[in-house]
Amino acid sequence: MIKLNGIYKKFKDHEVLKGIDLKVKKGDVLTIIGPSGSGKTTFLRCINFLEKPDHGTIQIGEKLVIDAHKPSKRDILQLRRQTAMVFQNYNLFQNKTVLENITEGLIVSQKKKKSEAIQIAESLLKKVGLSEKRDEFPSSLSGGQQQRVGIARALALNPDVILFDEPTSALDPEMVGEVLTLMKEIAREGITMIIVTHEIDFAREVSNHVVFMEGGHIVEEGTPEEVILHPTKERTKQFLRRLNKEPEFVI
Amino acid sequence: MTVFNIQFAIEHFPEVLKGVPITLSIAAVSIIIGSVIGLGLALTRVYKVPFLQQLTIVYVSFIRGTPLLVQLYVFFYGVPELLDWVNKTFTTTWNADNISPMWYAFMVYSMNAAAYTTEIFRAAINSIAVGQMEACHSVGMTTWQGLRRVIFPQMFEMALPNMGNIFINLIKSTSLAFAVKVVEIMAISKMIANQGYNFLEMYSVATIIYWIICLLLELLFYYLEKNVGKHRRKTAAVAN
Repeated sequence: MIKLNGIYKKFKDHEVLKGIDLKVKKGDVLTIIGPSGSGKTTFLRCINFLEKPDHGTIQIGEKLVIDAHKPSKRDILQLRRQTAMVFQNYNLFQNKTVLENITEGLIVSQKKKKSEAIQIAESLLKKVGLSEKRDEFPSSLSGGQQQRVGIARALALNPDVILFDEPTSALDPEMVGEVLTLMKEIAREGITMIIVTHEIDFAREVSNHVVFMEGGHIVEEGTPEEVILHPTKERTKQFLRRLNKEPEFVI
Repeated sequence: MTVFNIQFAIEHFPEVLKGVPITLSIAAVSIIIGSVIGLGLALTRVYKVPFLQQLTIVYVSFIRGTPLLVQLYVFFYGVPELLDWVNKTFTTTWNADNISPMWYAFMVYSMNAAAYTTEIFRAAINSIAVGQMEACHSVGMTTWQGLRRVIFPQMFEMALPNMGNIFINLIKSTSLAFAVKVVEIMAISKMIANQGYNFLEMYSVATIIYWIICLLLELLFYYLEKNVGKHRRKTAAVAN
């Protein structure tokens, strides 16, 4: 139900994405792994046009197909209204309370009634365990709490897919757990997710489809079993070996 | 001639006070019109709108690089000439004599405020993380909705201390408006002083009035800064 074809992106002379094809089915939890600079974040941002690809098409659902050569403003808006994103730096609206952060999209872009939006937001805050923070501003929350609000904000929109851009990379180690636990819970509910992450164990556990990217290409894709446990490509093996390397020093 | 005639100063104090509403209205009107124009100009620079961006750069540089007094004169003598030319070319009958000096003041001070607020707003918007707008887009808002609901509120808060500076500077620079025959604090003081050569007395009165106005404005902006943007204060509380 999400189909990406030949996504190509160049920053000045640097080709970041060299034509990527990917299909995501409804209910899929897809993780994208790969070394830094492999283009995985750029690719994810192309999916909701935060980054405009130079070539390629993006199809979401049956009807909406966007050609990167001539995207209409309305199509991009529609695409964004069918997707949601969780950011590495949370990007909560700094001038809005926790509750308003969640209701904002519902009221402004989905034109829901305020009372209905508040109801949705409150139930989601309960789900992410932050009901008592509803009237606080983001700056008074810890990183983990902010990211949980970010996830609640994305869930509230009831999108076709939620895009996660390294959602735990900016967190203190002790807060990574709370966010990953929440994401596992969401994954179990059958929400379509595309996750860029460095947490290989998490990817193995939670996803049904793993993509290994390097140098703007998809090197290998398949089930976690295939890609993470039994990779066939030398480059994938090398990448995973480095991550799993035994510590060099034991104190 | 006596030394400082305090009696004279006190006696004429109320008369000079009559200029205060004029001074305040020039400053208030121009900060409002100037901010609206300035916001528009700032956006042309933030979004790098071709052509308009360059125009903004030239405009800001021109206004900031020429003395206010000269700008006042150029308008005061230029606009009637321009109307003459328009009348001749299009056979209209505009009459420059009907333009009150206040209009010249409003125009020039607004243009002036616009140039300075452009820079303030531009800096304020640039200091807001790009992620804020990306988040707006990600929840399906249009750029304009994002600007209005998320970027502008943060921008105003960020710009507030600098806006206070501009406003106080405007108040003080209205003292030049007497050059285009606006009867404000400075003009009144001068006229009274002229009658008996009590220049020191009357300029002292003007000084005190300007200072009181600016003092009150400083207090107002101090209050605004404390009460706008509660979320930032909380950051500090957490950091401590």
